[in-house]
Amino acid sequence: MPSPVGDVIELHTARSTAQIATLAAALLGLTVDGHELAERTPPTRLPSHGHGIVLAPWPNRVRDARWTHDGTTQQLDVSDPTRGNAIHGLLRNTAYRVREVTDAEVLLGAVIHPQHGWPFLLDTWVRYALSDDALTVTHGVRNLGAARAPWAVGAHPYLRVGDAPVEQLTLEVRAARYLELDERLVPIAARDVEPGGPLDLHTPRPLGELDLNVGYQDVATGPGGVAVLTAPDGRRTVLWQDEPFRWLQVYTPRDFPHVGADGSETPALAVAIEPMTAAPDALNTGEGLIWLEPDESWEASWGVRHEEKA
Amino acid sequence: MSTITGVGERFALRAGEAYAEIGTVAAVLCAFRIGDVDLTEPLPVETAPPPFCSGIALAPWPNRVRAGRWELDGVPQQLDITEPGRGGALHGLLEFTEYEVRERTDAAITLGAVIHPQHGWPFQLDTWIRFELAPDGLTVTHGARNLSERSAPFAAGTHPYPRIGAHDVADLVLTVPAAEYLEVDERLDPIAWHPVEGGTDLRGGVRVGDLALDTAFRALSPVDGVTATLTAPDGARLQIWQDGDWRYLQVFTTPIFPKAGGLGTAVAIEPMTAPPDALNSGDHVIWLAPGQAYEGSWGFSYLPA
Repeated sequence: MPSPVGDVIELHTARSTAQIATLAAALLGLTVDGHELAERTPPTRLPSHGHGIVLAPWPNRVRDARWTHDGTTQQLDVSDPTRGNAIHGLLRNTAYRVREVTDAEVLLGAVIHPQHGWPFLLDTWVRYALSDDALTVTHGVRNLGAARAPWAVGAHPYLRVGDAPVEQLTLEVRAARYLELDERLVPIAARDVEPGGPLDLHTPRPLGELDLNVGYQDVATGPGGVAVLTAPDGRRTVLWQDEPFRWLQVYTPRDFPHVGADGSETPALAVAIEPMTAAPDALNTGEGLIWLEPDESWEASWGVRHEEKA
Repeated sequence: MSTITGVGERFALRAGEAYAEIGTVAAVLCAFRIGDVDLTEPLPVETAPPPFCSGIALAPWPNRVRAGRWELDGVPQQLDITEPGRGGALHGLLEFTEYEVRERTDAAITLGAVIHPQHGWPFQLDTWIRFELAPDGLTVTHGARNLSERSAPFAAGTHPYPRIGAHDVADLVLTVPAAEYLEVDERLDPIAWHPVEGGTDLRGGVRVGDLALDTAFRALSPVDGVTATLTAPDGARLQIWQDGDWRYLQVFTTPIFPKAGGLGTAVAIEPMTAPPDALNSGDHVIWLAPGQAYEGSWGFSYLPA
């Protein structure tokens, strides 16, 4: 049977492997020296909990699935009916086209056509570039329409450090602010992270103690990394983001179907660490929204790397 | 990339004096004419979706699913709400999907799109649409193959706005050999089927300008498959025909369709394999076993004055 996630592209180098699906340009798995840096999605089913999917042209939620553009109300489809919002952009159910592929790199593209609540035409792409100990993900867009268009992008990887149980990992997040959410998970205010408070992860904390679904703002950008997962043996998985990725959503579900070495699935704690170029509900608040003039293009990257010791 | 428009890439078909143009998004019929006689409302080339869903293919269901909810083997399924004003899920899952080109000749094109499992739709279907132009008409074939490991439902429909050249659509006479129409509530969800009467009885022909319909019809008695005929004042006729298992027809009229000269009357005549809210009623849903395929056709025939 064909895979529900479309075509699967296998990337590899001497030490690393990655599996990418055309559906939502999803990262299905990533290993370095046999250690898993991300949870694994078997190609026999859809990614669980949004694992690995690309969120474009906006990440996270749009309140009431409505926003205003040049004085006109725009009504998006309600893709989160339980909470009445639009969630995670317009490409979640789209199979990207493979535009270039080599052993270690793939370029996937998808055009976003004008539709309900979205009167814009964008060419978008995602490049996954694998090296021996890291994966670099570059998101790009070009405005094909005649009017300026908004843009934001995010990704939804659930990261790990090899076979160490996620409970035993520590998580460090370099962020100055966080977003306070209402009961529908839409931001109502940005606040300073209180030093030593429950959301302060500058000092690494054990994931087993954390219960998070929080958007961080004004996060550290650049190669030093924004978030670090550390295993008890000192091995680390580091997430870094380019400067436009100034937001980071962290989510710790306890019912993620972890795929074991034998292929069996067990509900377990997992941690989504989600690079975002804009805040949740950015179409309404404008926070981080990128405006593209006709024919203007944009690219920015984030990545994950494996480190043996701190 | 320069050929990308709001409806994707546009492909021209030619057969004799007949011309059609197909866009890859929603496998949309952008234009259909014979000689200089437009037989559907032509879609302008611009970066906007088709007005009033003009020309789009509807799959894996046409029309509405009430509240976007239905049940599969007792398990509630919640589709995305694609018509928030009325709270329903409208016109399937491919309205903004770019199909791929699978076959192409001067007079024909086959477009394909895989429907992946998603919210409220735990199935994978390969779907395709073939347009075949002839000197006197157009045949459109909708197909689906179930790529899932379980039986999957399928229904198809289409949303063309026919016309006859420069004639005001309000002056065309519409004849539909249907014995029953569907009563709907204020959200356009089904209430009950009734025998046609008054403004829903189109068997003897009614001037489009005198109609105000957004109405499904069934109990069709087609002759040679013809389920709807538009007749111009000069006697020219445009017929819509459907395969025998396309048992339904939606008719929608609007006085505010955007045309080259401003807003005007238009009529959508929409062949369907299943009625509105079929995922809930089960009426004529085509259930495909794993690996099983379906194909069915409708089309236009033009008879000049």
